[in-house]
Formats: sequence, C-alpha cells, structure tokens
Amino acid sequence: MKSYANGIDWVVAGLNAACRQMPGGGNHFLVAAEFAIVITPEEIRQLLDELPESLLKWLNGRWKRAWHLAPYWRPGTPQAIPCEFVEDENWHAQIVRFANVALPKNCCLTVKLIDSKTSWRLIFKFSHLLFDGAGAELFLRMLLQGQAKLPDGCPGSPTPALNRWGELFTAGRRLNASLRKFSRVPLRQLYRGNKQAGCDFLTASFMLDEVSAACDSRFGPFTLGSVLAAVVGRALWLWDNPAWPPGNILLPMSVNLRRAAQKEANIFFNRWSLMPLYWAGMTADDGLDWWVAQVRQQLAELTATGLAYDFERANLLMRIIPASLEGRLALSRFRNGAGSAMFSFISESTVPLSWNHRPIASLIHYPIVPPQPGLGIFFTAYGQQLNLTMTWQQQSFPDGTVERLFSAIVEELKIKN
Amino acid sequence: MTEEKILESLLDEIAVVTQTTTAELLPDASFNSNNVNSLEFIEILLFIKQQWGCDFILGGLNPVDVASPVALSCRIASELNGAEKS
Repeated sequence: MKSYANGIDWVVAGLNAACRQMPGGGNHFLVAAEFAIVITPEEIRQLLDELPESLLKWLNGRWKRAWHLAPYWRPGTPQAIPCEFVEDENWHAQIVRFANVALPKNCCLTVKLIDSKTSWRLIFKFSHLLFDGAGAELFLRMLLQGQAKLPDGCPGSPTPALNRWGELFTAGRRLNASLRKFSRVPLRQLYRGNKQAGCDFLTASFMLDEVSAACDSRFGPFTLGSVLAAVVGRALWLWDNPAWPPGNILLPMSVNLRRAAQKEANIFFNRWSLMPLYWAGMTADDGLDWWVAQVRQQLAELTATGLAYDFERANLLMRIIPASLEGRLALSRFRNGAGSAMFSFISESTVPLSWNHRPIASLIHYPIVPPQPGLGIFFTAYGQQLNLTMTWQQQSFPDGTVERLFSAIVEELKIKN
Repeated sequence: MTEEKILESLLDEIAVVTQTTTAELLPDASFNSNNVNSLEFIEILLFIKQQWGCDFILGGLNPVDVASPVALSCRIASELNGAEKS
C-alpha cells in the first residue's frame, strides 16, 4: 500500500523548498537530549544499528512525484543512520553547526553525540518531510524504549484523498475568506530575509508546574497554551526593532492534529495544521489580560469554524491549480511571508524521562525557520520543564534585537498574580 | 437537565475530542488523565456554550470546577439551575 501525502505535507514541501538555499539545505529540525551521566559513542552506534531494515528503508525514502496530483512516499535503500561524535565544551556552537548542515540525500535522520565533559548531548536531526515535532518525539520514544519497528498499517494517507471535491472546495473557500483580512493590513514582520543565511538559537527553561499554576491562578484553568501565545504576541508588538515596520501581529500557530488514541499510528508525516492568531487595535495600555482574552476568543472561533482542518484539506487543492495561479494566490494571501513569527507549543512530551538507566536532564527542540518570517518561537513541555527555543535567521535582524525580544518573553513568563 | 445527563453528554464530547470511547474515559479523574490538553479543552468549552449556553471561554471557572468531568458537569448543572430559578 502506498503512503500518500496530505495537504500539510504539501505545505512542508514548500517550506523545505524555501530553505533550499540556506546552509542547512532544507527545513529540518533537531531534538537534543541532555544527559548528566556519560554516554559513549559505542552505545549510540549500537542503538542505531538495532533499527530494523524495514524502518531504515522508510528513513531513506523520498517523495515520489513530489509536485504531482498524488505524491507518495517511496522507501529507499536501507543505510545505516549517519552518526558523528565530537568532544567540545562549547556544545551550543556544535548544535548550531549541526543545524546548519544539510541532511544527506534521501536521508531523514542523522545523529550527533556531543561530549562536553560534564554533560552529554544526544542530538537527532529529523527531516521535516517525514517527521513533525510531535511525530519525532513518538519516534524517539519507540527508539529509546527499544521497540523500533515500522508501525502496523499504512503510515501515511492510504489514498490521495482527492475524490471529495465538494468538501475540498468548501474548505478552500472558507480558508480563503479567513485569510483575506491578513493580506490587506500591514503586519509587524520581516519583509526580506536572507535566503542564504543559517539559523541560530536561544533557549530557556522554566518550571512547568510554576508557570502553569501562575496561569491558572491569574487567567483560569487550562490557559497555559493561550498565555504562551499571548506573551509571544505582545512581546513581538512591543519589540523595539528598526527592521520591523509598525503593524498588526499575526502568529500562525501550529496545532497538533493527533489525538490521544492515534499516537502509535501517526508517527510519520505532518499531522499539524495552522490556527492564525491575529491582534489588531491594541494600545500600550493593554496588559497581558487583554492579549490572553483575544487568544481565547479567537481559539474558540477558529475551533468552531474548523479552520485547522480546512487548511489541511484545502492544501490538497493546490496540487491541481496551475503553478502561475498557485503563486498568485499564495502571494495574495501570504504576500509578505508567513506572519510575524512561527509559533508552536507541544504541551505533552512523549519521550521517556530516561534511557539505559540514565535520566534525561532536558529535551530541547531546535527547529530551522525559512527566510520569511526568519523567526520562530517554540515551546515544549518535557517532564517538569517548560522549554523555550527561539530560532532566528542570522544576518536578518540588527545586532542585539533578537536578544531583547528573548529577554522580554522570558521576563513576561515570570507571570505575576 | 440532570447532572447525570450533562455528564453523559460531556463524556460523549470528550470521547469525540480525544478520539477515544466513553468506556475508556475516567469521569472522576482529571482532564489531563483523560488526555485532554489546553487546546482540546477549548473545544469542550465551545461545546458547553453551544449545548447549554454557559460561556466559560473567557473565564468563570475555577480549579475545583475543572478537577474532573464530574466536577465540570456539576458546575454546568448549577449554572443551569441558577438560570432557571432567576
């Protein structure tokens, strides 16, 4: 049975193409597990060598008929997972270097072990064509628990899902109407990214329980995700950055479409979609409460209209539109890029808290961002940690501005009651 | 509407949102234990607004109300009873 692409995989292929000229050569991402106890290269090699051939074929596959009506994933020749080992106390520089190197051709996973004498970082680089962030975590769970195998059943869409034109066109019309308002107003965003510059990262860690309790206490139960989006939106609006013109804030928030019961069958391919959060008409007097209320209201409206599912379905249609019209449509709706910054929150990690009897001290995602928007702010919850990663494109922002934005977000997350 | 009926409808909706079955849900356990995250919780709040007209999207719930599906159905019932009396 063939594994066909869904509408989001089409979007990801576009993002991958947008990153083609960057040093990383594509839109991959890293997941780094930090250990406080020594990890040896031999252990890692053994872990990777235990991967079955059926899975290696899958990891060495590629999209066949990528821009065709019905692209599908074709398994390739099984090859050992490339793995490198370095000793360097400057682990951050090693991570940046690893992120800005291309994956080998038709290879969806490489690994690097950084020995920094007092800490050891096991870093997995995933191709976004085959994995999304939550899927990568499910894969790591399978790998680190010694249960790596190709999941039963078809890992992708079992059909091209095109024989439901009424539904697809209805989704397309609704999506178009929803996105139209964003194309008419100026946004605070990067208007020209450097297509050939690499990415850099800043990270911070918070106590998940503390932030969550502060959010519950001030904004009500189950508000953590909304508060994180509001904090980022507000920080972007207040950001003192001469490279950004004044305007409204658009945060295309990634949402995970996997549900609890589907976890095992949904490791591969992209199972997220978008919910565009948009703030207009704000004033300097509007505190975080106003921003959070806007998020809650919009999330309810977007959930009611099912926009995330429309986005997934409507993108299937893009494959049947002639390239010139496709370009015009994309330009009219995303004229200046992809909003103010990429944003996502993985609210529950599935990666185990230990491996080979050693606790994993932290787990950080390092996504690459395309030249536009050139900036991404990502949160992941892991154990008792809430981890923040900010990615930006080097050379696209004036010196010191990115650090100022990061400090503003960190400071705001010390939520006061 | 009785609290039992509300709980039944609520569990049906949680099963839809989490794509499980009602048999797998634990009515007395937390929403987290029932695999409901903060975004899925908004879907549940939306359902409550559409089904019973109780709007908790912008606030109005306290931690006790969301301790479990049972606690939330109890809160909805008290809102509805309050509305009937007034």
